[in-house]
Amino acid sequence: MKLGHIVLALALLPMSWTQDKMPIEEATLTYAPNVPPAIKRDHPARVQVKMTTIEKVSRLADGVEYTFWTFGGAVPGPMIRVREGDIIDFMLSNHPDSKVPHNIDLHAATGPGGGAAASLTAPGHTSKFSFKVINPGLYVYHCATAPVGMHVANGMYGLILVEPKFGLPPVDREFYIMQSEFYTVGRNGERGLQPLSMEKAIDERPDYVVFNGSVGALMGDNAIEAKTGEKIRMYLGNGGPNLISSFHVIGEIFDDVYGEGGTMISQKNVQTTLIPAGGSAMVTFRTEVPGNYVLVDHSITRAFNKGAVGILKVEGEPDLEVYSGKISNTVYHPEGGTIQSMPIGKTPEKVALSPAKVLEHGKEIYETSCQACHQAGGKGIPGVFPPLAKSDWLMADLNRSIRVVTNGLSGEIVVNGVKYNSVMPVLHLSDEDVAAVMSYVRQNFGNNAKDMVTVEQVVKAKSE
Amino acid sequence: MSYPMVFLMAATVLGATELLPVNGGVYIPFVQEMPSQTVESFLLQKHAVTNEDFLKFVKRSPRYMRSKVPALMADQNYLRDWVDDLTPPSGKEHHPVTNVSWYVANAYCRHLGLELPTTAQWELAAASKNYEKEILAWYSAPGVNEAPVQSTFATESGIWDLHGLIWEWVQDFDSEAPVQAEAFCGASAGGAVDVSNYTSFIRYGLRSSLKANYTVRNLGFRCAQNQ
Ligand code: HEC
Ligand SMILES: [Cu+2]
Repeated sequence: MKLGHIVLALALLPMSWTQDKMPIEEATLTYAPNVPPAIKRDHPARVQVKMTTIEKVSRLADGVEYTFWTFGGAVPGPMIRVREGDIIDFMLSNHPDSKVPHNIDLHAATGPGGGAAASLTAPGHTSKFSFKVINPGLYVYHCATAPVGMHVANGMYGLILVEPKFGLPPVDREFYIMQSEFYTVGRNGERGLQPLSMEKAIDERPDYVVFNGSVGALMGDNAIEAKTGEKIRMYLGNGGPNLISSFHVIGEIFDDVYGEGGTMISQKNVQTTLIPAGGSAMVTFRTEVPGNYVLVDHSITRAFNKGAVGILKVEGEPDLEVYSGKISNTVYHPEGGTIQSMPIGKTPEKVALSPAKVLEHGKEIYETSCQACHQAGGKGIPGVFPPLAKSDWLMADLNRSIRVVTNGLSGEIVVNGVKYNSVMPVLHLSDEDVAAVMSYVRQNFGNNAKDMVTVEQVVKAKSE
Repeated sequence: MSYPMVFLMAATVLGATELLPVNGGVYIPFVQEMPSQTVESFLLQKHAVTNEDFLKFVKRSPRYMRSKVPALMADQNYLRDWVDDLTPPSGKEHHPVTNVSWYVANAYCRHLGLELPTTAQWELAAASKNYEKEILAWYSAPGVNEAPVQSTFATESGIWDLHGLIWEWVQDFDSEAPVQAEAFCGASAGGAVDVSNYTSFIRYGLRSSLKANYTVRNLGFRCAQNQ
């Protein structure tokens, strides 16, 4: 009897939060890479979300501007965080200076158009609509005004997280990262205000693939930061409009992946996870070793040539058991430690190559080992890979430049007046190869060295 | 008495803008469900109604002054950049009047014995294969164009600024609206005749977002006359 009462009371409890008794609160919206605070409530609420659509010109890459259509003045738009069962009272305002109407389609809403029809808003007007978030998960929102392709291509998307009733496992740090691509009339790097190219959009040939709305949005001073031993959760979205992302963090393994932004851990120990266009994913991992970790779309020319790179900077004490760094570099002998001479024949004598041959060899090395990053002609990618063409940094100090190739380089440098703060990995080249490639780059690409770099110089610079 | 004569009388009184003939033709609506329309030749004002034109109108019809207009006929932003009821923004006498609602634009044209052009008439007058790129560029550029009338380009019929200056009201702006209800994700392309015609898409989108009492900073109008 008593038990029956308790069961009844429990059953009634969730129902006591009827719509008009629900507490009302205003959503905390954050701009990428920041994530709104976790929800502490254990009951649903009416959550007010206010957003304004703004059309504005801003930086897409160094020297390149674009007319973005935005939610809240930024690409991606603000991140929204609510709880399963909440009722969202959405107010969408379209700035009076807007040229065109906008609306919002929230993939977290259930019902025709996800709010799109209810929210179509003329410039200088505000639409209100409400919806209940029934399904937890990480959802994309985007503008769905005709022509949708244009509104999305111009930057109108963001993420809304609907926390499950019982919350998400606690983590030390959270980040909001959204990939998308831009189709400009001018080719990648062409300066000035670049209009949208409808042809390229329709052909799905973007010139820029970026994280958080512009080239370098997660590089240099904007790199995201963490400490060793922390648990990180990334909320990953893909605004598209067209490409699917193969999201990867160089040097990390995702411990848990919530595939496609659902609420279940769909896989553990993942190297690269897919983020569909108009979709999402959540990943968590623990930072073990300090250093810079590079975020990329592992469809790799997008990272190297179109801008889809970012940096997670992890600070703390190194853990040599997890990652030793380079301990030593010894010659590999298949037969074991001692050199066994072949019974027949002599060890070939080293033949001195002519400078022309060395330069030819240096060119080959450049093309196979350097060009992927520093680009043809050594022109680099502004903000990502510094130029070798007419590089003051390269020419200033030979020993230092040799060490870049033999030992790698990280941290801030200034090349021809532009700041770079990234990582060049150690390239495992022989001393002869290093001498050849250094000779080549110092005599080409507008650099005017006359002398050759010798193997002796390389050996000496390395050991300094 | 022919219509142009009526117009001449009204026009003399108000000093309104010249009407120019536009050839008829067939207009294929942007939305598939709607039948194509045959449009008779008609007359259309050479440029959009200016602040100066509009001032003459409110002087004669004080009920359309900013402080008098009923809320049902125009929202709070009606004539927002005017200094007061009878003072257009200085130096902008020849700029198109904007922030006017459909109700008031319609009343203005009626007052002259004219009408707002229909969507079909407007689209036919503005049809341009040659300027698609420039038009798209204007649609993409943010902000309000601060320029007087007759500052962009004229069609072969001599009609100015149909693209590149402001949006313009049409009589039946809400006739395509029902289809918009299905507009979500990519599906809004489902009912369109030509999905690559982005400029029509945008005008269609704008028209669907309006209500007759709305006023918008980029939205003005001009009048037409059926022959
Ligand atoms: C994986 C990409 C990558 C590859 C491959 C690469 N670099 Fe770099 N390089 C970089 C980055 C990134 C920096 C800037 C590092 C920083 O910001 O601290 C850099 C910096 C440099 C610099 C100093 C800055 C400048 O522009 O003068 C030189 C010199 C250089 N690299 C030479 C080379 C040469 C020679 C090769 C081939 C043997 C090579 N790099 C291969 C990414 C790369
Ligand atoms: Cu939009």
